[in-house]
Amino acid sequence: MNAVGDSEYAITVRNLGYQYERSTEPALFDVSLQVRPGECFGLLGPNGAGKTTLLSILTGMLPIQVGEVAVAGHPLSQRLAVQRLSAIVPQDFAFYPALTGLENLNFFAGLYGLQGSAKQARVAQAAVTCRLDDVLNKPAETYSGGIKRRLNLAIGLLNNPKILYLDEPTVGIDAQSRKFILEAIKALKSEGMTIVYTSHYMEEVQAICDELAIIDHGKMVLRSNLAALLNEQELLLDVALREEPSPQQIANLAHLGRCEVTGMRLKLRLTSSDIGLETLLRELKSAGLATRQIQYGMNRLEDIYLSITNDELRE
Amino acid sequence: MTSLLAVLHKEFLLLFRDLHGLLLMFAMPVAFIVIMSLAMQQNFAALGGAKLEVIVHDHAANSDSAILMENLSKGGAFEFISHPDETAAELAARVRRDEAAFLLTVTALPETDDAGNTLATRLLVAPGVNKQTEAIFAAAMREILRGLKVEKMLAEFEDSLGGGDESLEELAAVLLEVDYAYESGQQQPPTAVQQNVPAWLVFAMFFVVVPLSNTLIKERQFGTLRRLRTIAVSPIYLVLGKLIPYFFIMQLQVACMLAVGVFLIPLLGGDSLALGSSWAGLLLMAATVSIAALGYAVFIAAIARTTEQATTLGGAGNIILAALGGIMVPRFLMPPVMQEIGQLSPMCWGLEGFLDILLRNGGLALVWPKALGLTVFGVALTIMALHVMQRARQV
Repeated sequence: MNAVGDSEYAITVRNLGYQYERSTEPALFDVSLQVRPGECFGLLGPNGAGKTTLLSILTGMLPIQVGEVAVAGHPLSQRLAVQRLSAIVPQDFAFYPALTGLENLNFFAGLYGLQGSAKQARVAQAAVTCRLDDVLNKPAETYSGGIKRRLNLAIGLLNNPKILYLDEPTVGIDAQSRKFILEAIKALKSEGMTIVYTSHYMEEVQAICDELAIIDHGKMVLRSNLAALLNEQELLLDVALREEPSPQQIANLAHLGRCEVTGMRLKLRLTSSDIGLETLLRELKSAGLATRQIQYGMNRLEDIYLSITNDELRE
Repeated sequence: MTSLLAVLHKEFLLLFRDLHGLLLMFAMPVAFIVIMSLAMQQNFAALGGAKLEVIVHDHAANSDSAILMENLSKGGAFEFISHPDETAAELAARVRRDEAAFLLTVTALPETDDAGNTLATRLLVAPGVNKQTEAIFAAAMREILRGLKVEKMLAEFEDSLGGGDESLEELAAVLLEVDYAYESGQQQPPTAVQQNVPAWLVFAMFFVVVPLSNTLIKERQFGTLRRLRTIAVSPIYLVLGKLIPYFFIMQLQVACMLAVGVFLIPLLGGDSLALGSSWAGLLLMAATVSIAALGYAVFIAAIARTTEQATTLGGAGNIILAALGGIMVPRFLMPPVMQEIGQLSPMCWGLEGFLDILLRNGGLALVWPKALGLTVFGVALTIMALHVMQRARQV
């Protein structure tokens, strides 16, 4: 691993640990990761896993107790430098509902030290990126959930950050708003912005992230390139049958891979990725199985995530 | 500096859009001042020399009772009226209805008794008369009756000796001058408005706890405070940016309440508020009560988790501080122990400071100890609040 202050990486975290007062368990334990500039890094984990603690340390809200962290080559002790380079879009609507969208943007731009035409330009750019032009002069409390999410994102763009932390930026909004925000994030990424993205929506992470880490009980349980992770998985044939299969019918498919049957549902984890869909359909027919619906391909990220975090309910 | 200006601008916008907070800070004290000043005007008028009515039923109707009536009316504190057409029962009914404070019935004795009395007097006390007033009136009556007897005896003595150089009236005169214990020679007793404006003004200023703690707690609940902490801006700017607009609003509050006392109350039939003679003292008290109230508000915001908790804690705390500090019940009516305890309330220091200026006509020299106490209280609570918030990583 390179030195923590090496600016080759946008973010370097080494052996990070954190324990809250009055807590018996560490919120983070020996977490290490690196994020390259311009990368979209997905941070996954169940509620209470330690994601927010990690983001809080990265953004300077919590101090480092154990380990080392550097952001764009600056150790976190250089708090002002780190905070100027980054911004967070929290899960909460972290703005003032009684103020208009424009007043909110102007206030946060002022906090970043912007003034005059520079401030106007930055506010206008953030508003355009998040398509807020039509609602800027209305009180934020009158906005729909989707517009509030867009304002939340726009505030995060005001200091033109090199690194943007997005904490579940699409929670609780409709499909159209979610699609818009994901497109906006993709556009920011294409402009070279480094993005750290937490979400419980696996399809979003699958759609926009390059790299992935899963944290559970404060420990990093997986760190991988997303495409490589998905490619490593077994091919899966998931079949909804018209009637329950007999043991003999299941036995006839055993040479293709491992069979799991639940009622009229059959999951076949293939031993070889060379077995094509045509072959599989032929085998199903010759085993006398009538099918209603078939899914064929790699495991979804959600399946991988659930298998790694043990499926169990956390709260 | 740009950051501080941004916070100030934002806070002013939020403040002027918080209708409930503004109503609490302006409408509530105006209502209190108007209602209490007008409602208590009668009590304070009595303090200021307005006369209590006494119905006299003169059964005797002789020269002795005429002298008695003449002497009674010289007292000044009571107004004696008679209803010659009404019966004793009708007059008693008037007193029972509190139309007058007392019914004084004077009857002639058939003959002078052993003590030399020629008249018998009986007092009927109205239900609304307190023990203190009753005692004062009874004492005044005894004094007059005793004086009449002495006068009569002296007259008889004078007749027997053939007169002297000095008149009886001169001989009976006593050397007693009455002065009022107000600063700078003010010789007017307090009016209801003079007592109520500072009391409810101080009370209202401490109610800044509700809007201020609400905005702080909402910032915390909405995650805005968390976002602010990720921005490279000094926490001191964030705190100052919040306190300065409220400080400004509280000075407006003081000006507004004083204006109510000076201009509105007289229009409604009450007395006008006299502002004393020390503008510097008044400004110092306005500033230091604001500092104390802001410190209290920030502290409540720091220890409360929800706006409901802050409103309950802050509101209940205010009422207790007000009750102890002489806002609701004047401290001079409290027993000595309660008066001592009341001195622990910062509202007491604020009220006494304002009364020093408005009532006792004092200045900076009189109010600075109270102003210092209020400043220390406000600063200490602000530091404690920042410590609590830093421990909870809110600033």
